[in-house]
Amino acid sequence: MRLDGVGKRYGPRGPWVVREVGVEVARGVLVRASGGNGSGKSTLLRLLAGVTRPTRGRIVDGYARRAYVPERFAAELPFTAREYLRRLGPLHGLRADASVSRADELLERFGAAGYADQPLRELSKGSCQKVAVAQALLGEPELLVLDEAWTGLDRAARETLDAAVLERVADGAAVVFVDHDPARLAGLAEVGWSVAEGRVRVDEPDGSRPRRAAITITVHGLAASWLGGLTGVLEVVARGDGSVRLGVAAEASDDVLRAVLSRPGAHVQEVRA
Amino acid sequence: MTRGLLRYHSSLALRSHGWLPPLTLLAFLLLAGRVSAQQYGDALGWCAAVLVPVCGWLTRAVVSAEPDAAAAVVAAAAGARAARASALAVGLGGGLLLGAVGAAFEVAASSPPSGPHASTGAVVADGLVAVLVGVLAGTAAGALPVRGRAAGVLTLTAGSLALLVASVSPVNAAVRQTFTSQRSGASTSLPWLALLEACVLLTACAAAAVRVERY
Repeated sequence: MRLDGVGKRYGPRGPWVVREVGVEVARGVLVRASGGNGSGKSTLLRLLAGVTRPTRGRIVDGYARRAYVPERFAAELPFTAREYLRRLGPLHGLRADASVSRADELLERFGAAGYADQPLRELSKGSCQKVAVAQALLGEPELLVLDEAWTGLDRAARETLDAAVLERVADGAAVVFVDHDPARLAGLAEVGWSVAEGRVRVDEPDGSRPRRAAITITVHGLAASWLGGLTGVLEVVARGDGSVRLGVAAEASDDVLRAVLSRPGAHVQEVRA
Repeated sequence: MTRGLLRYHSSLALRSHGWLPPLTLLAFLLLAGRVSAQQYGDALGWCAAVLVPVCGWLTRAVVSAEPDAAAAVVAAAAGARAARASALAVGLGGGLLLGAVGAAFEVAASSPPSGPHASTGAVVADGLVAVLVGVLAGTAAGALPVRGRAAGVLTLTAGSLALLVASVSPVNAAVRQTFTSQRSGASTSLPWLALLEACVLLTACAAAAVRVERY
């Protein structure tokens, strides 16, 4: 997917919120967009997600399956969490029966199963945010756009979302995110965008990181986000059974193993070259 | 996908109870109309006229039942224009339902015209087409993309009045013909032209509404 000279303003006399943006969003790439308040990054994410159309320029080869988590998901909706997710499943390309099981699975995964049958408008902000995040993961989006999606989530849910993001990337999806916490998925984003006054500057990729993973390590009992932060870890895939598969650069494998084994509760299940 | 969208928007509309005020207005106006209109022609003509503001209100209620953030989420998954079209389709479906209920009520409660007149079947058929015209034109007025509650109410009121009063309006033509259809020697041709115009009007308004971003 490519943005070609994209500009956006709301209304014919409004100021240009995004201007002359030409960036590429390739498959299997994690993109971090950063910038101050009012820099235009939220509008940029909405353009990517297909929520709003460019006023100028065009989007070429856009992804068909997209999912978006807005900055604030005010759930003034007359549904329970479970009902809402079941209704959104078909919009993400799921069949009705798959929507039901996938909704339950995600509610469980984000620790929201306990209030899945309460009306959304009775839920706390953080609980609503879990539902907003869960809907984005219902299908298997080729493009996942997250605007401060972590805000309001509890720690466990934040880690689950980290893992889900890395899973999507490992699965070949493009993920673009904005988060106020600079430590969010630190070192894992392959591309960085600096947004200022509606313009995007693509930061130089970090060339010091070797791209190929030589050794695969499967670990149980540790959070994917923590593992992703270790030096030399190139890929992190959280798996359904609670284990995490790491792709590690050959020269860093000993250090990674040492770091993992020094943590209480950690269990190395497999090491493969 | 389309079915999923329609299901989502219809359950959203149904549960948010935005349909209740327009339905109440319809019931009130239909009952009020019984005072003077008791024969098929004028009863169905009245019903057609009443359906203009009622369907406009209903469509606006359906479209605005969805908070902006929720609409953005759906737009990303299903396409922004498809999502807006689906909400309008649900508004139209609701309007047709109200039209059917209103017409059934009028037919059940009214009597054939007294004195010499065209065949009762022709008068009723004429009235039913007029009811359909009222639903389509009202939905078109409600679909107009106007931001804000006050501006929306104003647009809808002005739009409904214009549709009812202006002599070029399809509703005006259809209602006029329905009122006169029960007189002796009246033309018995159905108001097809008005129906066609109402379809064009709705298509134009819906096409504009689907293109305009609300958030």
